[in-house]
Amino acid sequence: MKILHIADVHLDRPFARSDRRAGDVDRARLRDTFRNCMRMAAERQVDAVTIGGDLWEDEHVSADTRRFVAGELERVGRPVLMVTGNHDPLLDGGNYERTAWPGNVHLFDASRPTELRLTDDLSVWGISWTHREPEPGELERRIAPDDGRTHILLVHGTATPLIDLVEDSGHFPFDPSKVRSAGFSLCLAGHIHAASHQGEVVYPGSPEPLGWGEMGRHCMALVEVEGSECRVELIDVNSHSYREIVVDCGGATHGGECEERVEEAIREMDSEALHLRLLLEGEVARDCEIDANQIAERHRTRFAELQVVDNTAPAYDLDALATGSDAAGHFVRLMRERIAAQSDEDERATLERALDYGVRALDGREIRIDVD
Amino acid sequence: MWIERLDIRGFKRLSEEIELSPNLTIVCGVNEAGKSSLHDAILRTLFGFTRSEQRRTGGESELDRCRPWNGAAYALNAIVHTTAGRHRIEWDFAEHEVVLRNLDTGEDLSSKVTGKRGDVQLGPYLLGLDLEDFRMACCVEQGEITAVPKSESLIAAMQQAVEAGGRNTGVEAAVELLHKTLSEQIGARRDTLGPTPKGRLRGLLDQKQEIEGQLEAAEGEQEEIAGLEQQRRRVQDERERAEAELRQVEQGLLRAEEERLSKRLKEIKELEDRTRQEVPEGPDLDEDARSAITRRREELDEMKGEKASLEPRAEAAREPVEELEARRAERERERASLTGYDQVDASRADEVQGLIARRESRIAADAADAPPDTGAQADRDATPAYLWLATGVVAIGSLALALAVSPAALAGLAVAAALGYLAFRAQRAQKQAARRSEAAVAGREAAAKGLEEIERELAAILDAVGIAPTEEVGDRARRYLDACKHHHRRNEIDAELGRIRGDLDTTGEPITELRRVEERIQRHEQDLRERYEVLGIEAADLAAAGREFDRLVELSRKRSATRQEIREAESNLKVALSGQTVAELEATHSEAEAKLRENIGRHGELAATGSQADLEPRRQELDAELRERSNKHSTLQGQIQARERQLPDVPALREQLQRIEGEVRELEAASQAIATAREALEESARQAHSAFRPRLKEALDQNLAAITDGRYDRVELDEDLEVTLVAPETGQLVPATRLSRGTQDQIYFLERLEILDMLDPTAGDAPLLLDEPFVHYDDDRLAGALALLAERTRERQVILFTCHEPLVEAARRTREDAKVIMLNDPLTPLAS
Repeated sequence: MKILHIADVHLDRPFARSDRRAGDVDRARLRDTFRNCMRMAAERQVDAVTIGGDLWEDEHVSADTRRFVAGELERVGRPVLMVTGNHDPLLDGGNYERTAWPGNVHLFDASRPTELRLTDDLSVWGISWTHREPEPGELERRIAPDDGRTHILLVHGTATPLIDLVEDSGHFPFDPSKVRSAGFSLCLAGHIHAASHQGEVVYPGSPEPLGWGEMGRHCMALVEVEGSECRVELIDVNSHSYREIVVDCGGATHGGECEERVEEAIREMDSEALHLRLLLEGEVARDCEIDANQIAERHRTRFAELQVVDNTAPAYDLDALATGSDAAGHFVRLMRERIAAQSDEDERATLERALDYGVRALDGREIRIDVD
Repeated sequence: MWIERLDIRGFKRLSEEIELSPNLTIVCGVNEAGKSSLHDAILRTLFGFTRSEQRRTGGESELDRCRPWNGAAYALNAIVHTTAGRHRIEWDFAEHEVVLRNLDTGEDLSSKVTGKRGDVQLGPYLLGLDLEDFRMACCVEQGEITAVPKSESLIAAMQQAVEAGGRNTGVEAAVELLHKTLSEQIGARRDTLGPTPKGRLRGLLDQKQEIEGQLEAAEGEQEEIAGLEQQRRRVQDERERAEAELRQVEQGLLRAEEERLSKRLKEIKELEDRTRQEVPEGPDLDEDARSAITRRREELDEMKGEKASLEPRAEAAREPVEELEARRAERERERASLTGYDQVDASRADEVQGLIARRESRIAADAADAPPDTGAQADRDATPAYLWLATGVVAIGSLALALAVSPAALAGLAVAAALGYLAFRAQRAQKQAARRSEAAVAGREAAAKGLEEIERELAAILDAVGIAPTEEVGDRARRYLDACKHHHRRNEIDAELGRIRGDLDTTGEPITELRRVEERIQRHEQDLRERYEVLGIEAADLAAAGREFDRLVELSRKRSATRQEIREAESNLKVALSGQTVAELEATHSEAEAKLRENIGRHGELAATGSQADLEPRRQELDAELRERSNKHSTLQGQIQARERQLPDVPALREQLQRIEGEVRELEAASQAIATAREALEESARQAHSAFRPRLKEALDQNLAAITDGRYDRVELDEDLEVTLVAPETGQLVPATRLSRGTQDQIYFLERLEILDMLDPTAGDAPLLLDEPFVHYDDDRLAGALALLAERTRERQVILFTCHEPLVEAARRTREDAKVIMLNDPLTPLAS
C-alpha cells in the first residue's frame, strides 16, 4: 500500500512581493507544484493521496482555484483523503462546501478523529479544523482500536516536542510520543513548512517555500505501508528556493565598490528559481552612496526575486563625535544615553535610527527613506 | 572652496587673466591700481549682483558701475575648486546670466544656481553663504579691524557656529534637512507628524484605506456568499430528500402498477373461469310459487310462533274461564227463575218504601203514644238513685280512706265525683222524658189522620203500578215491594252476567285467540300442502315437504346464481378488459414487472409508501417540489458563481496592502525617528550654544601670545563678549579698549579670525579677502599677525590686498609659496 502525502500548499496565498505580477507568478507556481505532485501520485502508482491541511488560504482562495483543485484531484483517479487546517478551516457555506468535489475525494469533516477504512487492513483517521480548533490532548487517549489492522492519523497541527522551527505552537499542539499509544502506526501531518520525519510523525513541508523564513526542505512524503510497518521517503518537490547572503561592504569608500562586492558574491549564483536576499553589512565611508534599489534592478533578471537590503552604516566616528562640545557631541551623547536606557526593542530601534538620521543631517547628508 | 583662476573679460578697469594660490595670494598695487576692482570682481564671480543691485536708482545701478571701462565684454570666467570637484563659472554680467559646469563630470549645474526670477544663487550653492554673510564673515575692509560688534545676531551667529562644531551643517540646517526629508520623502507634517495633504504618506494611507475597504467589502461579500451557499446546501438537501422520496414513490408506483396489473390479470382470469363454470342440474322453481310458498312458510312459522306464545296464556286462562262459565250458568239459572218480574214498574218502589215506612212509623208512633211501662221506667229512673247512693258510699269511703291512706282516699274521691256527675245526668233525663210523654199524647191524634192519608197515597201508587188490590194496602205494598225486589234482582243478575261475559271475553281471549291461530294454521298448512303438491312435492309430511322444497329452492337458487354469476363475470370481464385482450394485458403486466425490476436494480428495494391512489398525488407534489427546489438551487448556484466572479483578486489586494502597510510602517518609523532626532538635536543645540564663549576664549588664549609677541596670553570674555586681558605686569584684568591701538588691532584681528572661523559655515573653506588689515601694526606684531594668517591659509584661501610692498615681503617670509600679484597703474601686470 503506497500513500503520497502532501500538506500546506497554501494555494492563492498573498506574497510579500514588490509588484503585483510577481505575486501572481508565485501563486501560479504553487498551482504548478501541486499539479506536479498529483501527477507524481499517478507516476508512482500510489494507492491513495493524503493532504494534511492548508491546501489553500480560505480568505483568499478563488472559485477558479477551487475548481482547479477539484479537477486535479479527480484526475488523480485514486482515493484522496483530506483534512483541513488552520488556514482553510471547514466552515458552513465556506469554500470547501462550495466546491464540487469529485467522488474519489474524502474530506474528513469533523474536528474529532473519524475513521475511513481504506482497505481491509488499513484505516486512515482524520482530524480537521472546522469552525473550531481540534482539542489539544486529543491523542492523550486511545483512538484507533487494537484490531490487528494498521491505523494512520492525518492531522494539521504542531508536534510540539519535535519542532522548534516555529515559535507558534498554538495550532493544535500534540505530543508525537502519543501517536503510537493512541493506536496509530504513523501520523501524516501538516502545518510545519519544513519537511521532517521523526519518530512516527511525518511533515512533508510545504511543496514550495512560501517566504524568506522557509529555507528548509520542501517535499512530498511517499509512505509504504506493509502490515504495521511504514516506510517514509521524503522527496523534494520545490521548484524554487529562498536564500539570504550577507555581503560585507565594510570599508567601502564609494557605491561602486559595494556593487563590485555584490557582483563577486553572486557571480556563481544565477538561477531563475532562486529568491535571493543580499544583506549589505559593514561600515562604509561617510560619503559612500549605496543605491540598493539600483543594485537589485541591475541583477534582478538573473533571479526569481532579488532583494538588496542596505544594512551598511556610514563610518561616523561616533566615539570621536561624542567627545565634542558642539551640538553633534551633545547629540551623540544624548542619543547614546537614551539608547542605553531603553529596554524596548522597537523604541531602541527608533532611537538608533534617530541617531543615524541626526548624525547624517548634521553632516549635511541627505536622508534616504527606502521603503521598497 | 578656492578660486584657481579668473579670466576677466571686462570688469571696471580690469580685463585680465589672474591665477590665484589656494593658500595665500597677495595683491599689491598703488592706489587706483585696481585692487578694489579685483576685490569686487572676486565677490561678483562668486555672488553676482542682487536684484536690487541690478536695479537702476538715480540713473546708475551697482551692476552698471562695474561695467568695463574699455568697452570690453562685461563678462568673466573663473575656475573654482569645491569638494564636488573643479568647476567653471562663466558670467555674462551684461545679461546677468551665469553658466556653472562641473569640469570633472561635465555636468551643467546652471539650473541649480539660477532662480525662477533670474536670481543667481551661485554663492549659496558653492559656499553655503549669501553675499552679505560672505562680506561679514570673509571680508575685512581697510581699517575694519576693530572690536567685533557684539550684536545679538552676532552672538546668535556664533552660537550657531559653535553648535556646528566646524561642520558644514548646523543644527538648524540639520533640522531643516530632517524637515525636508519629512515633507519630501515621507509627506509628514513637521509638528504632528501627520500626513500632509498630497504627500507620500497621505497617498499610502489613502491607498491603504481604499484597499481595506475593498477587502472589507470582499469579506462581506464572502460572508454573504457563504450564506447563499448554506441556503444552497439546504435546498440541495431538500432536493435530495425530495428526489429520494420521489424515487421511493416512483418505485412504489411501479410496484403498485405491477400489483394492480397483476391483480387485474388475476381477476380477469378468475372472471374467465367464472364465465366457464357449469350450471348445476335441477328444476327452476317458479319464482311466484317459490315466493308464495316461502311466504306461506314464513307466515306458518310466524303463526306457530304466535301459537306457541299463546298456549301458556291460554292454559293459564282455562281455569278462570271455567269458573266464570260456572258462575254464568248459575246466574243464568237464577235469572230464569225471575223471568216473571221482567215487566215490574219498579220506579215507585222507593216512594212506596217511604210511604210504608211512614205508615209503619205512624203505626208505631200510635203504639208508642200508649201509657209507658212503669217498671221499666222505674228501672230507668232508679238508676240515678243508685248512683247517688254509690256516690255517697264512695265518697264516705273515700273520706274514711283519706284519713287512713291519703292516695287511696283521693282515688275514692275521684270516683265519687264521677258517680255524682252520672246521677246528675240521670235526673235530668227523667225530666226530659216527662216532657216528651206529654207531647206524645198530643201527637197521637194528629197521627191517626196522617196514617189514613199515607195509606191512600200508597194505594194510589199501587194501583198505578198495577198491583191488584187483592189485599190490604200494607200487603199490597209489601207484594209490590217484593216484586220490585225480584225485578231488581233480575237486573242485578243481568248486570252480573254482563260482567261475567266481559270477564270471559277478557280472560278467555288467549284461548279464543289460540283457537283462531290454530284454525289459521290449519288453513295455511292445507294451503301449503296444495302448493307443495303443485310443485310435485309429497306433502303429507309438511316438514319433509319443507325440506324437499328447500332443497329444490337451493338448487334453483344455485342454478340462478350460477347463471347470474356467469353473466356478471362476462360483463365484468368485458369491463375489466376495457377493450384489451388478455394477452395484451399480460404483455402490459410483463412490461410493468420489468420496469419495477429495473428500478429496483438501479435504486435497490425502497420501502413502499402507500397505494397508487396515494402515491400518484404525492409524486405530482414531489415533481412540483423538485422543480421548485431545482430552480431555487440553480438560482442560488448562479448567484454564488456570479458573485464569486465579481470578487476582487484578494491575494493581490492583500499583497498590495502588506506592501503599503510595510511602507507606512517604515515611513511612520522614519517620521518618529526624525522627530526624535529633531528634538534631540534641538536639545543638543541648546546645550552647545552655552559653550560658544568658552570656545572663543579658548581660541583667543591659544593664539594671543603669538600675535602679541608673548605679552598677553590670557583673555576673558564677559556676557557681551567684551574682551579683557590679563596684564602680565600686574595680573589685573585690562579692558582691550585701554590698550594701544596696535594691540587692539592684533586682538581684534585675532578675535575676528576666530569668529570668522566660528561663523564661517564652510569651516575655513571660503576664501578670506583682506584689504589692508595691518595698517596700524608694528613690525613685530605684523609678523605675529602674518604668522597667524599664514596658519589660517593652510585651511583656506586668503587673498590679501595691500599697497605696502614691505607687507608683501613680510608675508612672503611667513609663507614662501605665497603668490604675489603686483598691480601697476595703469594695470600693468604682474611679477609674481
